Amino acid sequence: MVEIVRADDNPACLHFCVTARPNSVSGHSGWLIAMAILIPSCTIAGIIFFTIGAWPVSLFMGLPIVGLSAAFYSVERHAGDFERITLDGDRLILDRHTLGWDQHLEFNSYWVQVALHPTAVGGGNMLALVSHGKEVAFGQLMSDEERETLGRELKRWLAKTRH
Amino acid sequence: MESTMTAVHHEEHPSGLARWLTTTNHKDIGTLYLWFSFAMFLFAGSLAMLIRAELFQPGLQLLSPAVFNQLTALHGLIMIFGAIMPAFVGFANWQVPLMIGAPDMAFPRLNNWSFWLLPAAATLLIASFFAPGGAMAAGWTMYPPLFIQGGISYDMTILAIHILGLSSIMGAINIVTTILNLRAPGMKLMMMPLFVWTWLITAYLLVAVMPVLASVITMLLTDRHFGTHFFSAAGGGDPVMFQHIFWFFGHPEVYIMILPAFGIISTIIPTFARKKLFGYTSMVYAVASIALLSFIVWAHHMFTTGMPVAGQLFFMYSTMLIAIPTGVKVFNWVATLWRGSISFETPMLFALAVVCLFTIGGFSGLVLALVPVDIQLQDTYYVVAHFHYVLFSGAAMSIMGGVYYWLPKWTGHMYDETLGKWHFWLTAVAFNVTFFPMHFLGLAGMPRRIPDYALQFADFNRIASVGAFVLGLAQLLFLYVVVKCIRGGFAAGERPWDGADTLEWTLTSPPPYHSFTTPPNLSK
Amino acid sequence: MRPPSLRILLASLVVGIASPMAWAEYALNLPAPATDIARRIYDLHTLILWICGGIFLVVFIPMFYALWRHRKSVGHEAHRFHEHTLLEWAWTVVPFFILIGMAVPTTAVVISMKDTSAPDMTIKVTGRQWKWEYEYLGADLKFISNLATPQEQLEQQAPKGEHYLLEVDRPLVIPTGKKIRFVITAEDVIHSWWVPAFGVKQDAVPGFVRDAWVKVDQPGTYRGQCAELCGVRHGYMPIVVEAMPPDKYAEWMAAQKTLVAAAQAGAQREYPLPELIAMGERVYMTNCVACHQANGAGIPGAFPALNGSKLVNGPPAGHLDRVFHGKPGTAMQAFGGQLSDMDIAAVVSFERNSWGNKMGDGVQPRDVAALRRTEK
Repeated sequence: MVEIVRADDNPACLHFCVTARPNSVSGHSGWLIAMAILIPSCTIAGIIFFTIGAWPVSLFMGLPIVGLSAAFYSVERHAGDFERITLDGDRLILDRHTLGWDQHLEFNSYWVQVALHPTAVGGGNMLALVSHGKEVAFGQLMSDEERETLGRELKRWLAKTRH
Repeated sequence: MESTMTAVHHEEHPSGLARWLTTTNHKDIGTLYLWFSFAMFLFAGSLAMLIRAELFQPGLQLLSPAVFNQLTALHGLIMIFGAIMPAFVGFANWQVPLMIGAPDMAFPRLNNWSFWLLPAAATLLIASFFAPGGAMAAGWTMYPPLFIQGGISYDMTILAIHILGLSSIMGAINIVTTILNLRAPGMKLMMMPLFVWTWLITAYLLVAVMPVLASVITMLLTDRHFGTHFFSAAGGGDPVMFQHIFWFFGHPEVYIMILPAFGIISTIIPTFARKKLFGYTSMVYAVASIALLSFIVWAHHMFTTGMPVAGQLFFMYSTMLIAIPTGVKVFNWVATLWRGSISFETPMLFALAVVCLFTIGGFSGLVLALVPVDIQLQDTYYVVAHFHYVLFSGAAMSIMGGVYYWLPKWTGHMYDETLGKWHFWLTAVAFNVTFFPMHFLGLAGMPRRIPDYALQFADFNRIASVGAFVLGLAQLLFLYVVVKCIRGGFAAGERPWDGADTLEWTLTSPPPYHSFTTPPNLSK
Repeated sequence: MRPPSLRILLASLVVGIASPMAWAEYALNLPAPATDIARRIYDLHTLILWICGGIFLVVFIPMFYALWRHRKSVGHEAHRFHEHTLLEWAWTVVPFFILIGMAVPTTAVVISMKDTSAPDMTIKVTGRQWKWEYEYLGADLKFISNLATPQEQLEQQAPKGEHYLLEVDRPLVIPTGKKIRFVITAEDVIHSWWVPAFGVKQDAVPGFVRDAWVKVDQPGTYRGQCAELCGVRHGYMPIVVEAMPPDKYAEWMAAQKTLVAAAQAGAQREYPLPELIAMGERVYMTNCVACHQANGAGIPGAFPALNGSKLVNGPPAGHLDRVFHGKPGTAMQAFGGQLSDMDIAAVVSFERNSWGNKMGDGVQPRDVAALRRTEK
């Protein structure tokens, strides 16, 4: 999910500001449905196999429950993550919030380069900011098309600031 | 500006294996899955060619019986776990995020690991041919006590299946989480494309039954080396218990390999009939009921083990019930075609062939569901014919159709339509020449998994072998068409198929949330 | 290998449309039934095939009609409907009733198949890698039935006989018109005892005794094969059943008993080594050659060589012990329970004096009998 705030919408951002957040469809109900199907079926199968003497099956039946719970838990914890790129005059600011880890990077918009690489084999892409010999990838929460468009827009805008 | 972009692109594109190994992009991983599965398809297919060459005429010509058994076992294992399943996971990786408007899979790094486990497992399986005593030769079903007798390659097989199972579970958890949590806001479950629905249900089946497979092969391992006697009658164990556990995994596994195929067919047919899928809601319920039923039919693989009458009747009735939701699907496809505006591009030809041939496989399944008839046909070539009609003309031909359907999207180029049609007709005709006669062989009494046969079976075996060679060679044409399409061709545009209506054809994620199709006005 | 003959391909096409006369030659259907159950299975299969064929037409005639009439190339415009509640209910409910129609006659056959009560006689069938053992319970007769097709036919060094791979050295003999109960089990791995003409296929599972029954109407020779993958020689484990009228069967049974008595008497005397070796070769070629091979070299990695083997070239007692008791956990079976004292003595003597093994000693039948006595 990508939100755009343009200068005219929000006076706090001088030029424009793009925020990407993970899609998050009401985690709780999805989790409940998933578990409501999985736990009873795994438990019943586990008990039946235990009674016929195949107790290892019962142990293994715990795996899917643990695995899927961990997956849903992790997605829910990451629901508040975001990635924000702000263009503010001669500053390009990259803010990143990933569960208990914040990153705030400022670049001089005159020097920073935007790199858009195609990925290895599949026709996807990756987006990075390059400055002072360092490359910072961003756009993990965006789709390939969104990254591509954002990259193109950023390049166009940065080219403008240099004039 | 455009020229500088290209320059940047060339300078900063670190190529090589490292990029492949570390990529977390769903399209990259989807592509890797598809290529891996195609390589395994050709490898396991060449094992099948050797089998058919040996069976071309009675007598032992090329292979020893020991090697023959290794080939049948590994052909099955690799086709199922190395070709069909990874191919569908490849489709899921490519299409699910695009179809539900998610930026990527829920766990991109987990996705990378799930893929890279596969080549490791495949290497183990292929290497086991060179182990002392040769590869595993107890059939893909690995029934003990025969399996317990084997050598080191049997342990390699167990390890390989563990790795494959782990990969499948991780992939399935990723897909379930992606579909349930990462849909674009506003996309309700009953709005998801049917392909996504089939994969949601398939992923559930995977999560539920792969641990069962893992546990049963672990029990084989401990029986072999750690003194347990789960399955050895001499130690107080029960060889038939293995079959119960194995098929409790095995039957849902069959649907794991066919439900995503239903999803692909339900995507292709409306496109080329230029008409909305008929009975979307009933399709979803049909898929869900097939999945539920798959948990209570497993013992129909075991009618000859000597079950009590009540057991035989229960599993016969539950198996027959599966015909109802499966029938609903076929009827809905036919109703989708009815009064459409139908055209016959390669993907559509494959889809139509799947509908017809899968139905034949469904009918032979119904025949096999009936206990008395199954007693005659169990472990004969009739069963071989049946599951190839379901798995080749059901699953594999859907995969081929799906590849032709989405190739323009994936590569940006149109494939060669003439060669695609050649590939289709060669595959469809050769498939039937190969497998239809096997129904007769099975009825006449030829057991499966035998390297040599009585003279009365010679003619149909020869016909089947000729068909198999053509079928095998035709897949090289498929490889050529795909490579040719990747390397160039007419530009495909955003929507090469005028009837396609799922999200991925409109480049955008769901329209209201997509921010960049009309670039924001940046000048103040 | 001969190239694929065009004639065969054409023939197969013709078969599809040819008269039922030609069909018989190509064995397109289940074999001619020899028991009541097999006949009912045959009829059931025919019925289901007709029903499936009918449904196939009902589904695919409209589909191909649509493919033909509603094509884009003739300018057909797509209609917009995509739901029809009544139709969707109909094609869920109607198949359900068709299925019930199929289930009713099938259930009756299942119940009669499983009814093994009140048999006239019982035969115990034991599956072993890779042969069948038949024991006539209550008649004190037990023998092993091996593949009789010579190795040369398998390897194209001799023309194949009419019953290639479907012939055995000693067929199971049963009387016609009697209800015979088979109790079926296995010694090592799972096998499956299957005679298509009887409509009987029952897995032989180690540790379990399962049963099945037949009542054969007509005298004749009926052939089948092991149906469950049981190892290297799975394809070489045929079943031959000879059904005889009860009076002939009684004669056969009496003759068998005389043979057994004669063999027991013969086992008492001392045999010269060359005679033992000559007899042993025959036993070896039936029972041992599959694994240890005709040249005694075995199959490296799977089956050990006997040629130059330490065990074979050691004391006779150890060699005899291995043949008699087998090696648990491997394909080497305990032949003590399968072969006569005479055969075991002969085959041990043969192995000790064949290929590169030149021990110059042998084992006498009475040595084996002595070993057998210590077991009891």
